Amino acid sequence: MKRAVLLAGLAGCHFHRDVNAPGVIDPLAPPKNLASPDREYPDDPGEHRLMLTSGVLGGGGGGTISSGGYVELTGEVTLSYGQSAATHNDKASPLFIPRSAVIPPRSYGVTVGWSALRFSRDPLMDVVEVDPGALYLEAQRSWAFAGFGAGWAYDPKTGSTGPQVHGFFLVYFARARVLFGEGWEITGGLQLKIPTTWVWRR
Amino acid sequence: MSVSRALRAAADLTRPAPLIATALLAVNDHVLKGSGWLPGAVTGKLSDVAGLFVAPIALVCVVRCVVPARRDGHLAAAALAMVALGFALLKTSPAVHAAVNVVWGHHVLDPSDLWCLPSVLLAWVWLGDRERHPVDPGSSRFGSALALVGTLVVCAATSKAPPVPPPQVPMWSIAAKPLDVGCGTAAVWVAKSGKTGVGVTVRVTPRADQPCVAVVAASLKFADRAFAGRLVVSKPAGELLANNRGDRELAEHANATYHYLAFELDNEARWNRGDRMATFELAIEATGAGARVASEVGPTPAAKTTRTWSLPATHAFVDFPVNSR
Repeated sequence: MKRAVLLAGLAGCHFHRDVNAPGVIDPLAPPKNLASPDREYPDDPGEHRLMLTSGVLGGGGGGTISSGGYVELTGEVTLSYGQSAATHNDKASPLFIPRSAVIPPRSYGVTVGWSALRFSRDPLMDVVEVDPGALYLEAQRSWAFAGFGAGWAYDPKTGSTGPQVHGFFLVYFARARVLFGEGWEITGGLQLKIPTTWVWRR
Repeated sequence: MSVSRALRAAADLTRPAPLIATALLAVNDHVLKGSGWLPGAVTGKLSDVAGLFVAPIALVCVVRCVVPARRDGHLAAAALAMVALGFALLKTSPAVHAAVNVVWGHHVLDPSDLWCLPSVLLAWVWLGDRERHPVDPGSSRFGSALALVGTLVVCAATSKAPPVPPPQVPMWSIAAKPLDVGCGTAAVWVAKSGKTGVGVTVRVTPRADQPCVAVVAASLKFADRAFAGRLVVSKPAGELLANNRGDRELAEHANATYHYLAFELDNEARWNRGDRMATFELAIEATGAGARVASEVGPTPAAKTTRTWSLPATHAFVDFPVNSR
């Protein structure tokens, strides 16, 4: 629990690692201004970015699994990695978020999620049921604030499994899932996921 | 459409709310930003809030100036959607941001600016009110024209990006006061430092106008190994002055000679394993008048002296001034 609280507190931050920090130079090439007592700024090696993004997705959908449609709340954690050709500059982008968020322009990642709360209406009994939904694991490809993922879902209630695909842009997401023996469903909604990033130079 | 009717369509911009927003945008972009009077986070968002309010209104007015459009709310909705979407893309898409920066000027790629998006809702409320209460037909054409031009200029003229220093990088530093080489003095500094090595400049300045020829050799000594410096170039200041007229540093040392030594080593590996201290061994063989202790009478004869120094060197993060890159 303490770790979860700590992780939530770090969301939106980025942390620098000093590994590989020196810049790129050719020591055999004399400085551009040989007489200048100022140090020459080295070329930028770019940086590695490892990002842990966590948050909630809220939305609704329908399909053959829940015939009356549903509303659900999902928790998701994504671990992704990418590189940036340019080192970010903290002084150049002071954001509202403490210490600012740094996001790789392109990244690969793995997402673990759980549609933890699913509200659906039973058409026969005319009551709202609350059930835990499926767990899933996805591989993800992202371009800054957009991306898609594909993976496998598992419904712990029925034991059914099946493939799912997922796309997102900014705060919007859409997901399609097939659970063998149960049917299919499509979900859409809003997501609030905040990144914590570790950066170090290439 | 006549000019008169077109200008009447822009009369919405003469209303107090758009005028105040436009003024706020102009003052914030061109006075407050970078002045230090308000925190950067506040001035950064203020323009977005004001701009997102006034931009859809200006867009509606511009379209109405060109095409007669009914006041049924459709044009306002389209303008709001376009402004909101454009702003979201500008603040979140590196590709759109880069393209806009090229054609329009500096903008910050900052997704946290999306917090300002609700400002378009204010514009929606305001535009909705104007749709229900169309503009007064008696409003001044001159005032409308002025407001239209002013708003468009203020919206288009983005603030200049304040220069910021580049990120810190680790550099080697050598702690050395001016060194007495006999016939002159020597100054040593690290000119370059990076993953694959270090470059050091040694400047030898003769005393007065007496000649002083120096041969410079150096090595960078770590606890486990020493790296010999390779003399890459030696140039008299006169040669450098030809290409750097007006350089104050060069002018002050017009009779000096600059020696550049390169040390090739896996500096990144040493940084990664915490090897941040070394000794810079410098040997200067100087030939010239005064190299020996001056004789009591008559001109000082030329003589050769060799002196060595062991100077502490450290590898640490260094701040660079603005525009170092």
